[in-house]
Amino acid sequence: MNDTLERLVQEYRQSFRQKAEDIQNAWQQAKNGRWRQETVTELISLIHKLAGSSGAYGIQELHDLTKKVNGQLKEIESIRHDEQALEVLETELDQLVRYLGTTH
Amino acid sequence: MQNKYLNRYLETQLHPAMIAVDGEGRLLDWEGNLQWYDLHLNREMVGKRIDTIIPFLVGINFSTELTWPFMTFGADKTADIHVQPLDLGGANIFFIESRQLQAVVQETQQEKNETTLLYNKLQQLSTILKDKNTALQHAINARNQFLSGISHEFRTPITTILGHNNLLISRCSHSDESINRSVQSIDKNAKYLLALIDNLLEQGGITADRLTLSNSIVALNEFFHFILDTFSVAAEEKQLEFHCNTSFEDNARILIDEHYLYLMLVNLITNAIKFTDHGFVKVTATWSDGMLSIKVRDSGIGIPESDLEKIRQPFSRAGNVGNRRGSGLGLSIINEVVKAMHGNLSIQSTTGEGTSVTLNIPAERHDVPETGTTRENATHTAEEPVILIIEDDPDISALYTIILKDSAGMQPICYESGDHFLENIANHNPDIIILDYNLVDENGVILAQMARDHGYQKPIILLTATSSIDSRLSQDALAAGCTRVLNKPRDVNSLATIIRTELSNQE
Repeated sequence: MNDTLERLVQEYRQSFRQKAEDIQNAWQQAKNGRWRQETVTELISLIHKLAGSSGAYGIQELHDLTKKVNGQLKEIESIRHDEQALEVLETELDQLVRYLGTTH
Repeated sequence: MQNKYLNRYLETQLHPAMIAVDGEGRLLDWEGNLQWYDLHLNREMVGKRIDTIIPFLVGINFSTELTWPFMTFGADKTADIHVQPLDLGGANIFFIESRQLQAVVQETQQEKNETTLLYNKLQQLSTILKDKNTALQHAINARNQFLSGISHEFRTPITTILGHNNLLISRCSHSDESINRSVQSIDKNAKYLLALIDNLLEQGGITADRLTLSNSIVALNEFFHFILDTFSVAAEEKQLEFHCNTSFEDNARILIDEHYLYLMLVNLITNAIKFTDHGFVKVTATWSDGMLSIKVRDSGIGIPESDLEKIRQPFSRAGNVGNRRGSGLGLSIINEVVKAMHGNLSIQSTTGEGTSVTLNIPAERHDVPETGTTRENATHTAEEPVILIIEDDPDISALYTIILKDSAGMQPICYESGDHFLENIANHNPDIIILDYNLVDENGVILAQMARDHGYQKPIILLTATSSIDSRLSQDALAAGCTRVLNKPRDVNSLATIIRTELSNQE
């Protein structure tokens, strides 16, 4: 890997803590808004971007985690009245945030 | 409840009785102990219409012989009450045949018992089914966990191979054509393996009704050159002649799912090489009137006629394969894919002489737009193509920039949004445009359409972060003027190769 690319990957990994914090804030906002579509937009956008960039950087585990959450969030209108589905979503979000918080 | 109510009613009606009424239904006399609930017939009632005394007799014409259906309350049962007019000096005799009512009671009781027995049996069956269902659900969960685990185990090393190969791609000198071809072949085959894992382990198998095809523009000459390169090595190792004869026009392009087309050819050619010890494997391909025809012919061991149909089924192999390894999945996969593509598959074979497999697949031609007016303000050279990238995630655009600039010698220009998109096209005169599909306030398909509407005629590649490209998205993107739709995760590191291919197709 050339130096610039290596540095770039390192910088990307260093941004994980910030990304975890952003996701947590957006998650809280969605919960406060009872998962209504308009309060989930920010979370969807963050997860979607992370799904794209983690794949692009070849970080498969993170990519798989975000893909799962992304898939659940796509169904948010149908799952927001389904406590079990919301529970699954929040468990996956929790795994994702933990991963971001502990991986560098 | 219904039966209880019925029984209570019938108990009051079971006394045999004979009533004499006149032709108008007026009570004359009676014999027996008939009662209507608490009402007993008495002498004061003589002369009154019987239906005013016993309401369920309303509507009976007492002047003719009739059989009157007596409807029980709440139960789906009837008993016939027989009225027999007898000439007894102007009076008719009306006889309530209570034995019929008794029969109804007995029948109802018997049915009630049978229903109870049936209900108990159903309860037992229901319990057994529930238990079986729970056991099956546990088995399914265990299978899913197993498949998910296996899938992960497969994915990890393949992803590593892809990652290292991408490093090789980025380090390769572009003039070293043979190494370039090898690393591209590794890249393509590793991705093919990943896709197989997705289909076999995650989606539970390849079947025509589950397949989502995603058409892209395939340059036929380039595709079959790649096939020739990919399989020449394996054929040489067995000292087989390997030919790939095509008769496509220069720059012939069709719309087809490239990945699945490749998957079918991999299976067919691999089988042909595996089951041929001497002689040749020949691939011929033609396209005419919307139909792509591919024939893979070999001089191998052949397939017994009795096995020709069987081998289209999963895990089925011909009887003469000996100890050659294989899962028996290859031809069944091709069978399903070709069905999903609305094509057909035919096999001719003679044992000991060889096999010929033909695929006919409908595929529309994709016409390359003619080059329009040349832009005057071109500032780049052919060696440094200008790549205009619209990508709202700075992490990704930084990666593109590094890979395309440092490793591939291109000039990437990144913008985070589609603002001033047309202006930017005019200013930079890009050789190719890379668009993210899911931008914050826009989408890449609309931007592609804008570019085409304003006369941009060079390649446009649409990138999406979803793991599988939706066929509708693919259709919309191609209709809007995108040249290719690609996945971000798997294709980003070979983006430079794809860009070069697109640029060379333009020349």
